[in-house]
Amino acid sequence: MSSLNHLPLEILSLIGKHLQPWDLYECSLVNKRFYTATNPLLWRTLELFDAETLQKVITSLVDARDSLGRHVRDLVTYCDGFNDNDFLLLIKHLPHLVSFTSEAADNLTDNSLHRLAHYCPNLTTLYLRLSPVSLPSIISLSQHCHQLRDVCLDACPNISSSDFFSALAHGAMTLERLQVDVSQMLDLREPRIADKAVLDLAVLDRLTELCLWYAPNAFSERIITLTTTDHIPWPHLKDIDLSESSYTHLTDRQFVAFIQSHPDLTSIALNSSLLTNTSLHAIAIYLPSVSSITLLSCRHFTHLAVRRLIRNCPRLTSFFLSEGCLWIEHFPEMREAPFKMGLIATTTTAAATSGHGYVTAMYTDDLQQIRLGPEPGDE
Amino acid sequence: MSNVRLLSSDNEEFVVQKEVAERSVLIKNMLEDVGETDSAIPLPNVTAKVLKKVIEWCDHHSSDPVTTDETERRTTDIDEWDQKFMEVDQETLFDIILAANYLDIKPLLDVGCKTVANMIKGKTAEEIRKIFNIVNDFTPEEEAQIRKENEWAEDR
Repeated sequence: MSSLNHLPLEILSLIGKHLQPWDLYECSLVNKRFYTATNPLLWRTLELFDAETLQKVITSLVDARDSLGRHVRDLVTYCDGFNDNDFLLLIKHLPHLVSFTSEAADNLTDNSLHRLAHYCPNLTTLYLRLSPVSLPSIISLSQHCHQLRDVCLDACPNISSSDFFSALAHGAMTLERLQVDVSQMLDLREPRIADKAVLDLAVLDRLTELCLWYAPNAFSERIITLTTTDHIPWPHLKDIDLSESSYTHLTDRQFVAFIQSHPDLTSIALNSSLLTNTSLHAIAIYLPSVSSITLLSCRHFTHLAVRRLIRNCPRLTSFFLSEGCLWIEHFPEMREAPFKMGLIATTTTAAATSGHGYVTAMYTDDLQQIRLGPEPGDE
Repeated sequence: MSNVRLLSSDNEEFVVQKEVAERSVLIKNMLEDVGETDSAIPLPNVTAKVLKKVIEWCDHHSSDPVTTDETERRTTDIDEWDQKFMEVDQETLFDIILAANYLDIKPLLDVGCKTVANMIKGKTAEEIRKIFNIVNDFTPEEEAQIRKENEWAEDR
């Protein structure tokens, strides 16, 4: 007779994959078979929300009969004050770690990152926010971790030189997703250095997602214009975000050449004052599966061209523009409910209530309304 | 549309459309290996009672797209038809899971595992033992040791 306790261990563990940590905690106490199947799942992801949890985990790792740390694949810390000492105590027990995320990494320095590179050769994912790490540890990371796929450095103040990109280009060839705040890389404002940094970036030809926050305009422009007829950098790019930067002078011709050569793009975010309806037409033609568009600083789009783009891109779920581009009067389907989620930041509250203002954000519902509306006529 | 004959462990024969039977990767591979055949495919690990249920599921899902997506971890949403389908006694539920595993029907295995996960959710170890009739084989010392090791995950 079949019973839960007689299912093969691998099936018990499949069941466990659908459970949350608190349920896995209970499962591990049911009996020995359950423990064998579910305890590794409980330890697979360590989420440390506070110092108390951290201390309990460290104690368990040090005292454990069998090395519990070998089960750990993902380490996530949100606790304030998490520092190098804590990290060094933890990390030597986690040889199979593949992903490390720290939302509050103010106290994690190069010391931690060096150890991470040393102890965890299988690391694929690194997400640090507010960490004071600097170039030497990035270099050691890209030299030791040969499977790095996903790197995000958000608001890390000492990532302050464009040599960062050359460090990645010399080791982290496997990178697929890169998100970096480049605001502190002051040297990037120098066109010659920006050029070199883009060439280093181009070495990372597996990139599918590239997001550079606060990029100087020359650097952003170079990323888009590097594409030529016989060289296409990042051919698999799905997501590019250069919108959080000063506005660029990219022309329609440059923009169109870029999207034409990157057919996998589903998300584009740029900041350029020169783009016109020509670019919108090109998106509709070359990227019919696009899901997210952000085009800031553009003032030359007409509402008819925007409508046509929306109708031609059925998967579009978000569309952001700057103020001063689209008047709300031209989108009566949105004016009916000016304060619902889909419409944000009209010029002033007073303007919004009277129906005068700009459309700056359209989401799924708005876009669907527009698709269902009358077909836009000729301009 | 060609048919396939399947033979349960208790020698009952089922005739099903090829497309339905091929939800089972095991059967699909067998058919590819032997080519067109008139003889019934023996399934020595599956009783008629369970095979009937499995065929019912495959028939309902015969036109689903084949997905290999493994991203849907830790969710226990089950569609309505599947939920109804899985309202069976425990023994049948585990037999369906074992059959799905043997026949290599991933989406059915997944639904089965989710159903069991939903029965476990929110329960204490003692309640889980009761529901599934499981004997605790830990000594009190062992149990205390595990509680201590995993204390960080309690009440999360």
